[in-house]
This record gives sequence, C-alpha cells and structure tokens, in this order.
Amino acid sequence: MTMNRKFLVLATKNHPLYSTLKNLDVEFYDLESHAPFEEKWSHYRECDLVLDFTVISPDKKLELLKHLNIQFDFPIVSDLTTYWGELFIEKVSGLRGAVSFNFPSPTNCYEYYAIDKTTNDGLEDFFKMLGVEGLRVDCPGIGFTYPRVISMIINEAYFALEDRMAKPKDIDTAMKFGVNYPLGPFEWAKKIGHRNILCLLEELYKVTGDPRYRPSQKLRLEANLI
Amino acid sequence: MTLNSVLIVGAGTMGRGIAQWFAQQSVKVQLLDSNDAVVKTAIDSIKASWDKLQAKGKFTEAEVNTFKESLEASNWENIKPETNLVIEAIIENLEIKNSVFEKLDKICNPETIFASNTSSIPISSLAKSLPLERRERFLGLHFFNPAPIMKLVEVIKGHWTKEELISEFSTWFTEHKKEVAICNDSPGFIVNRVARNFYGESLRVVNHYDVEKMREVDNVLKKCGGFRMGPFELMDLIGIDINYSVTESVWNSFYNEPRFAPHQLQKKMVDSGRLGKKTKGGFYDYE
Repeated sequence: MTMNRKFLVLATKNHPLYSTLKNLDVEFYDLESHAPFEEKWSHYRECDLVLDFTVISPDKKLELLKHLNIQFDFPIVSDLTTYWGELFIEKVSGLRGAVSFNFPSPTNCYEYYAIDKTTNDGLEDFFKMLGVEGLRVDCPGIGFTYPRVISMIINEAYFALEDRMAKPKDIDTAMKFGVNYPLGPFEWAKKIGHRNILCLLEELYKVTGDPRYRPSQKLRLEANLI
Repeated sequence: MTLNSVLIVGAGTMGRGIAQWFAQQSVKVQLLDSNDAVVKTAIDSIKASWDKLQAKGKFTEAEVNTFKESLEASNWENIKPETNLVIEAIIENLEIKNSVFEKLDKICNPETIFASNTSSIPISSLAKSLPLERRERFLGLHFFNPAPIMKLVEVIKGHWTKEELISEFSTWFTEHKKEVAICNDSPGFIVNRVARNFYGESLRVVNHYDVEKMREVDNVLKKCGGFRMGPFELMDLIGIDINYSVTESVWNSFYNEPRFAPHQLQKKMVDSGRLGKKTKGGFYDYE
C-alpha cells in the first residue's frame, strides 16, 4: 500500500516546513489557530499516522504527545530535532518514530527513526509526498547526529567571532575552501535559525551536564535578536 | 605587491605542494631542505606531476616547460638574498623553526618577507626573536593539502605584522585564484579550530568502539550534512594519531576548554596502534 495513507499533520508557524506542510494533501491541524487540548479529535480518527511538527518547549511537547497518545490508536511521529528524542520515545508508548526536519539539510536528506514497519512505511510515503529523502537511523539520541554536530561547529565559529579571531566572511571562506564544507558556519546558521541551534545546545547541556555544550554569547545574542 | 621569487624551506608534502603551486604562477621558486636528496626527490615528483597533467590536457607543453624552468633546488650556500618571499614548511617544532628563521634573517635582504606554513605554532612566537623590521614583514601563510588543488590560504596576522602586508597578500592570492581567509594569530587558526567538533562531537555520538554506529554517523554526515567524507573515515585517512595530536594541541592552547577535549576512544585507538589507513586498520579495517 503506497500513497493512499491519510496523514494528520500538526505544526506551529516556527517550523521551517510550516508553509509546505500546509499545502500538502494531508489533514493539517494548525496550532496557530487551534487549541489541541480542547479539541474533539473524533473527525481525525480515519488517519493512519499523526505527524507532529510543533516547535515548543520540551515540557509542552511532552504534554502534547501524551495527549495525542490518549486520543489516537495509530502511530505518532514527532519532529524531535531539538529534543531528547530517546527520552520522549521511552515516555510516550504511541510515539513510534521521530524525524529531524527542524534543521534544514543542504542535501534535502533527513535522519529519521522508526520503531516498527508500519511507522517506517508510513514515513517513507510521507517523505515521497514531501519530496525529501529519509535516512533511517538506529536511535534519535539527543538531537540526532547531523543537527548535533553542525550545532557544535557553528557554536565554535561564534566563539571564534567572540575572540575576534576573524570576520564571519573569512570563517565561512576558510571552512568551505579549506575543508570543503558545503556551507560556511554562518551561512549554515542563517539557514537553520539561530534559535534552533541555541535550543539544541541548551538541551544537550541540560541532559549531559557537560560544559562543552555552553552556547557562545554571540550565538545567544543572534538567537534573541530575531 | 610583486612576487617574482620565493624560497620554500622544507621539501615534505606541504613544501613541495606550495613550491609546485608558486611555480605554476610564474614565480621563480627555490626549494630547500636539510636533506639534499629530499629536495631532488621532491623536484622529480613535481615534474612528474606536471608531465601527467600535460598528458591529461590540463597544461600545454609550453606551460609545463616554463614551470620546470621556474623551479630549482637550493641549499644554504646558494640562497638568493634578494628573494621576495620565504615560506617555511618544516617540522612543527618551535626551536627548529626559530633557528631556521634566525639563519635566514642573516642571509636575506631586509625587504624579504618571511612566512610560516605552520598549522599550530603561534606566528608571533616564531617572529619574536627577529629584528623589528623583519617582524613587521612576518606573517602566517597556511596552505591546505594538496596545495596546488586546495583553494584556501589562511593569511595570519602576527603581533607585529603590518596591516598593509596582509591586504597586499590577500589581493595577490585572490588575483592568483586562491581563496583567502584572514585571521589573527590564535590557536589552530580558523580551520583547525572550527573543524574540531566535526570529529569531537561525532566521537561523543558514538561514544564506544562500535563499527556499525560509526558507519551510520559517517553516512548521516555525508548524506544529510553534505560533507564529502564522514569523520571516522576522514580520521582514518589523516591518521588517528595526527588528529589526536592536533586535538590535544588546540585543547592545551585553550587551557583545557571542554569544547576541545579529546575523547577517550581516540586515545584508545592511538594506544592500540590502530592509526587508520596507514596501519591498515583504524576505526575501520583496510586489509
């Protein structure tokens, strides 16, 4: 069975795919104009997969996923790019998968996690509809792999800026032409969004307690200017 | 700025690559090494590389002949004092580098510009024992391997380096199709500092020796991140010991800042002698 699945998609405006998702052939539930905890979900019960693309605080996200878990018998998948995915999966039994769309990929390929075949098949259909490639991984960890590694590279570029080591243009040039990065760290940060990077670093810091994840003050400044 | 002649000191991988690139820019190049046989081997290999490139149609016969005429072996006795630029590309050892620069200072004209291709030693500590006039004409020119192909040159300003010199080199390299990144004298400069967590964070995602997980991380960073190579295959190519030593050097220079801390898996690999492709085994097996 392909492409005839019904998807229920929830999203907030601050997700980079918000506009794209809104125009897909899915049941789109806009959290900008709806209150999920007051919703009667009966008319969405024909769906095969719930996809959550909200970008909210970890506590609110967990609360929302637990609420959806009570409402629906079919699998829930959530965008857990900036969250401790492993914990969410443990805590919400109906949460059967995770995606990482909140960090735009320069190759349009995204890591995802699926516990079972039903969820995996559903996600593969959804990726086709969205026109992206999915790469299944063994565990969502904290912020998957690509978001985590690129956040640390970007954070270091901001520390270097704080130290007045070089200008952003020179740092971007160095990384693109010295080690063939597809984008310079500052160009990359713009595409991903400073706030997303800050959220992931803060989550990594909170979960591990490791000071290596301390965000640069300059990055914090950028994230709060927007 | 006019660069008609350059002396490259050190005929190892970096020195020969830099020599090759300058000769291709119509600059007269002298190549010097403490071992004459190494210079001869380097020049033969550069010439062989040009012959191959000519056969592939990248250069004409006339171009290759000009390049070959531009490149010559040198020794301490026949260094031309009027050379415009000296680039040192020898072993990463402060004492040895300092003694080379002190020797060169006595031979070269005061106008000659001194540069180091160091990737880890502060430029100012290389310049500090030289006369002020020379210190003002001393900078870092950090090329990337292979120098004739890789576009980037980090142009590093030391404590005494004149601002005009930095902008003149920036213009000159840009005119000769290199990409320039200007930076201040800081540990690891730009690339070796900012790239540290490509490896460091990947090691923490994996955390233990787990080939399947390392393969997954390599795959993710290539497919989703658009990186040409994954961190584990790249460490195997560079040499896990080399990568570990750069990590330690940057970490020490930043007073053990946790962002640069080496990972125990790197140390385990080095201790076990599994250093990468060169030992036919590192994170992956190559036998």
